[in-house]
Amino acid sequence: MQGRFSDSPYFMIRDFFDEIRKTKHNNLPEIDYNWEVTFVSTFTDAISAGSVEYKEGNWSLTDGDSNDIVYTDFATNIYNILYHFNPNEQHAYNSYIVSPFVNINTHGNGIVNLYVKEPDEGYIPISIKHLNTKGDRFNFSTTAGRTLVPGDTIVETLSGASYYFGIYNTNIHNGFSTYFNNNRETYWRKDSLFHAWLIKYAQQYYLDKWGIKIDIRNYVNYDKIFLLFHRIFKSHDEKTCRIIFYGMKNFVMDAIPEHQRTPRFKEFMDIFFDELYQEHHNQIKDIWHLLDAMMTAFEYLGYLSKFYDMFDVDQFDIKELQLREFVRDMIWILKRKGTYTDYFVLWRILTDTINRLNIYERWHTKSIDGWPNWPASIDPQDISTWPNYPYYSDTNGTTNVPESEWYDTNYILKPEYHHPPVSGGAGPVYYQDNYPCSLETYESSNMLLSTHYIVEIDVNNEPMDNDAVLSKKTWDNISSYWEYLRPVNRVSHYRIVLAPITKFSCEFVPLYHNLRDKTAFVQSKCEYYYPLVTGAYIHKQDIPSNEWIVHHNLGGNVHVQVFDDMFNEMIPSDIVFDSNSVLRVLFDNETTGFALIKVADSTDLQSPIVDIWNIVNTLNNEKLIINFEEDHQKSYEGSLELISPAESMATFSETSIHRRNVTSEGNFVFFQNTPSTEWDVVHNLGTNGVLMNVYDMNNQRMNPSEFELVDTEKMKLYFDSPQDGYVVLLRVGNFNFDNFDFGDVTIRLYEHIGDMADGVPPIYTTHADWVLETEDAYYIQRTIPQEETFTFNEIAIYHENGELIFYTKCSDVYNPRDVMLTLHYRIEKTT
Amino acid sequence: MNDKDKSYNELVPEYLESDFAIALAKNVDLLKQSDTFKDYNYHGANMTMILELLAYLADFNSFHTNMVAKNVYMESANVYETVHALALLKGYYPKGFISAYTSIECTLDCYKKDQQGNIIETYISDGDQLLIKAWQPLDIGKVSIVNESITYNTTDEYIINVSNTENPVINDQVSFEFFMKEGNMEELKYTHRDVIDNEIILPFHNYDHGTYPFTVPSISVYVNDEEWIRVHDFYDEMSGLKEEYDDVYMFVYDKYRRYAVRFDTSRKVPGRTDIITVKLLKSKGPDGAIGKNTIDIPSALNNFEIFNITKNIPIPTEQIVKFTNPDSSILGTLPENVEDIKVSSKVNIHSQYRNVTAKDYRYHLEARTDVAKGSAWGEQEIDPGNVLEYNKVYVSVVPPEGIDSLFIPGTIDTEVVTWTEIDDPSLSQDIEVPQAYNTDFRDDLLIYLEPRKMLNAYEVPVLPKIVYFRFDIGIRVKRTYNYSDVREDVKNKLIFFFDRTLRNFNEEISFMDIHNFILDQSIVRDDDIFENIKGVDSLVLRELKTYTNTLGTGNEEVVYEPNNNNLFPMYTYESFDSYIDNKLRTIKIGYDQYPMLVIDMCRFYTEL
Repeated sequence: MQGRFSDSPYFMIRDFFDEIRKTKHNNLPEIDYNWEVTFVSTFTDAISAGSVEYKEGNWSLTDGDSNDIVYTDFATNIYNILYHFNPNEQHAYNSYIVSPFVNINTHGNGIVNLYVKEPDEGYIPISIKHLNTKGDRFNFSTTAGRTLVPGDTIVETLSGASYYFGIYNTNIHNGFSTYFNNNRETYWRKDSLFHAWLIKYAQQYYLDKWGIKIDIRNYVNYDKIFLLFHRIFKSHDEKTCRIIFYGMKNFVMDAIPEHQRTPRFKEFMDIFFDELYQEHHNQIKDIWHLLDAMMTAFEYLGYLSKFYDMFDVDQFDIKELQLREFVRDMIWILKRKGTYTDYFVLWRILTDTINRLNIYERWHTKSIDGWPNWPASIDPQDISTWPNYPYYSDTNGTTNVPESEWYDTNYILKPEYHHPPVSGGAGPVYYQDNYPCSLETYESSNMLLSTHYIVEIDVNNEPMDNDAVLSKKTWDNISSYWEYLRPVNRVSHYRIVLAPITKFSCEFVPLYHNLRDKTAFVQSKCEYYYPLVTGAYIHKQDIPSNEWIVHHNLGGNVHVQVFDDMFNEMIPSDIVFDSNSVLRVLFDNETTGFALIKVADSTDLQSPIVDIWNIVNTLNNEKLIINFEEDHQKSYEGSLELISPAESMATFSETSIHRRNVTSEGNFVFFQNTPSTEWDVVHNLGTNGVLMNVYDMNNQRMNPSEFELVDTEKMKLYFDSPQDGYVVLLRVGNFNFDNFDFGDVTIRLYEHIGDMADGVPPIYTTHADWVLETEDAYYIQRTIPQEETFTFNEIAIYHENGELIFYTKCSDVYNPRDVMLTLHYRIEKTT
Repeated sequence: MNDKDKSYNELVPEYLESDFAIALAKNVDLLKQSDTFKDYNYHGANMTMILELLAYLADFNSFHTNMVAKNVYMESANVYETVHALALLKGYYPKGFISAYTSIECTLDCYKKDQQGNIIETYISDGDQLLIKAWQPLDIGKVSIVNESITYNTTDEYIINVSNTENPVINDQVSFEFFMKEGNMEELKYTHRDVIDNEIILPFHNYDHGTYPFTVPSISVYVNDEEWIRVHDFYDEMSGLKEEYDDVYMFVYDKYRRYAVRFDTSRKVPGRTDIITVKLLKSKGPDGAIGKNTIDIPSALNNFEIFNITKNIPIPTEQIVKFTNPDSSILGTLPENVEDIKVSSKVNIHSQYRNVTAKDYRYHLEARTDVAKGSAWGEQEIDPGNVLEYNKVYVSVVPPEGIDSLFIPGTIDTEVVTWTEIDDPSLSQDIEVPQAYNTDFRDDLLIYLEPRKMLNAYEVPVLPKIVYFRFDIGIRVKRTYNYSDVREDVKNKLIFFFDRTLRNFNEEISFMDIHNFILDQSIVRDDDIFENIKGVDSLVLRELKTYTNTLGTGNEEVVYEPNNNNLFPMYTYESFDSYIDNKLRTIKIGYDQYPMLVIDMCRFYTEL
């Protein structure tokens, strides 16, 4: 009698070893590799060989022969990898996979990881190499294996006792040690290659072999952490060892008188009890595991959930281990029913998101309608009755919110806001100083806490789904479970907050920075105020410096004009063109301001270098902006005369300097026909950032004494004496984003990307609740009431004059009928 | 199971009544009824073998089937594995070994002095901080019943503030208490490769499993030197208000009687480059229990270190005046067996991890080490019908003796009231009262409560109103007893009555109860049996006065007559005679009121 039976039938262990030995190619050299699979659960993500990590996607398993496979086969054929895996031209043909869950050992030729159960120590890991199978004896070589030894002192401890389990590659003992004794139970651990073979390959193996599709799980419960192989015995020299199988078939044979154990009868009984009856025996044993979420067959997990009258686990889109843990711990959800924690737990488990979850209670004051005959009806969608943190102020959404009460600066001023911990419930500590009823004043506040609460899903740190900002499936899933746990005398409301972020740039600004392999997106850009024309760049120098370094990335031929913070032009000591992408603006003193940079329409080198340069104007236009560079520096020296549309003439005092002109056609020409010291130039270009050249009536360039950019439609020039003439203006973009009047903003939501451009009517049109300007940003907000269900992919923000101001395209955002949707558009005052 | 004579309460199912002999006989009987086999030789070699084999198999099947059936129900289950699994379904985690632990009373000499009493060296000064590191072992010099030496350990780090308010220097000495737990410490190191199904299965030793809420830890788990937090279940401490709230683990005793450190996907699991260090105790269970004063300095302190952080010096062993356990150790148990688990899980099934009733709040509050007593109340208690009180939950706490970090302290001057007559004029007449919550503590308390807070409950910490009591006590002493000895024990017994472990918020203080409590010789304290109480011939309580520090009425000594206006403290019944104020009526104190004794203000008389 050998004690209890092996957890696996004999024939499966035997066939497993036969199978893994098929991968041996003795005619090829052995290479000693130990590649670690970094991904425990799927075997698909990455392999590391030494310090180099090969991630799925950045290499393929091809070496040019006909058996090439690409990485997508990696997960489905664990044997092929060793034939074809070829990092650094080092083939691994003569190899076995020790475990696809742990590591790939290419030296072992049949090495398996096992665990010896030593009563005083625990499960001691060993690696041994399979030699052959003789009946119930599985023989192994220990010389190619190793064991990891408890007792290797790594850290001195106060008691002197320490163990160092599982630190592979640090305390490897070739051959066997004496740390475990003979006749000890030996186990497969759940991450073994044997488990992988059982789970992924055995069924196909027996279908091929027997033509019968068997359920492997019925023969052996591979969901147990440790499966008993059986007892291990070392040889005298410890170079070999054997594990002697003992199972149902052996038990039965023990019942037969010895003289009747003929080979044929034994074979007959082995087939019956090992290959047939084992299924029944295992299933009887497994009945107890039906109660254990971690060990029951996966298809029965739902029954445990139903045991608690809880959720239909088929709906959960999470990994098996997480789902098992969730079902195992359901009782702890029940014991917290009705708490904020339960909402938080479900949010964490069902969505696996880093987005914030905010739960607010609703408070009322005595002044609500109907007082004191409360309850009078209160519109639950009246957002003025809700505390609102951190998205907007607590002053009923009015536009005149003092900056000190404005909390959304978190989004812009604190980059780490993109990586917050997920948040939980409400209460005064959560709100800090802005709770409707503070702890200090609760006795005198006359505030009444209602039974209503709002659950707010913030989708602004990452998409909730792989391919959608929020999908119907995810919403239905999470909201139904929340409702399932809602106390009957509490009233829930739900809100989704989408806060696209953009700036005064024609480029799309992404909302998400931490996608974690998700593909969904939200991108927004400015459309209206021509914040930057094509080929333009505005440098804003906020920190005083005598050297502004401008990374414009516009190439080498650019106009540059510099202004102070009051929008007056400044003449710097130098503008140095360091490269095609960087220039430096130098001053004698530290200063702040703006630099407007615009790609020129044409350029020409002066040749020969003389004091008078007749410039051939290829643009053939009279409205020209012309600037000069000398030795990679902007030149403010010399005179300029526009002779004709095709020709100009520049005169310089120096003749030994290489020069170049940069020329562009202006957008607007203003004529001052009456001599004046002050020119009011109304250009209506829609931008306050403009480049200019000023000419007298004789087409000679002249410089005003002052130059002021008033607003997006107007500028002023000042002269020391009355002058007539004209000024050519070239639109660059805006660098002053203050005091824009958006008017009554209209928001339109479109069902598909491209609908707006194609003239397809929006699926929802509304007006902004409010627009707010702060020092750093504008905020446009609309809370769309609970009216109808729709999914949108485009948001268009219109000025009241009908022009499109901002545009957002995004993956699906599902807006259920019974949920408020808050659009909280954020526009940074920058390009 | 068609035996109709069986009671439905039969909880030992014999699901299948068939063993080897029955199966063999039945099979032969059935075969004999067959035309083919009726005349067969049942004793032939092959036939016997087949029949016995099949009977053997039937017996085997019967055993398994019965075992399975029996273990379907908790009441009839007898296999540890299944009882454990059934208990988990109910939300009960069976316990492994639990080490005995005890508090240590330690007194240190602050100075090293020469023979003339001159200070040679100062080791401790007022304002210093002392440190006792976690996981320091101490061989207490005793052996267990199986002749193994017993070791006690610190399992937590203790910082001792030497100050007038916490651990004052008295007579050049400072005294403090901390906990030590029995066991031999082990330190285990693991990597992510040892984590399987988010568990690390530990060696097969008898580790101390500890008891919730883990105030005296039994295990420390570090991931890359950062200590993670042990939780009761994985939804424990789950809150957006908690910092580092996901660095948590469970320490479980599984159905195969193995210890495991468990992580959870819903919280955080160590990554592939992390090193996991586990420190825990090999427990002797009940064999590690010790009687009071078993630990004593002379036994040996060995390398046990008390360190002065402020002065950056260790305290030499010779400075230790006292190092002993004033009480017997508590706990020290074997793992729960099948019957233990059945009982415990039955009790546990109704437990909730949410605060709904006042008791829920009270127990949750009192699980904190810095809270001796807690109280919670709401609209119904203070102003039924006032909608402003909807959904508000008021909570109040008092700390154990010696902890004063909860409140900003203040005093009341008893001279302004009438408490001027005291036995010992040299005693202070100022009585300490809480003036306001320490805001750090208040926020910490709210964060602590939040994971169990129900939706739309607004928890408001309310400053406790301390109702101070004083009495005149007349004692007539039996002839054979000394009055001052008896008076001292009466005084101590009265102090014991008002011990914070015994008193509660919103209590009724009955003078008959006090009278009986003092005279009941069976009520003793661990360190005092009040022997001279036997000498009381008669005991009279009179001249009760109360003082409630924050009544705000201008008359803090008032005890209200019975009322429905929630004016506390109040008498529970009317005075029988309107001309005489009967002060010895039972007094009910309010939901936010807690009774304390001002012993210095009590007067003791010889009763004639």
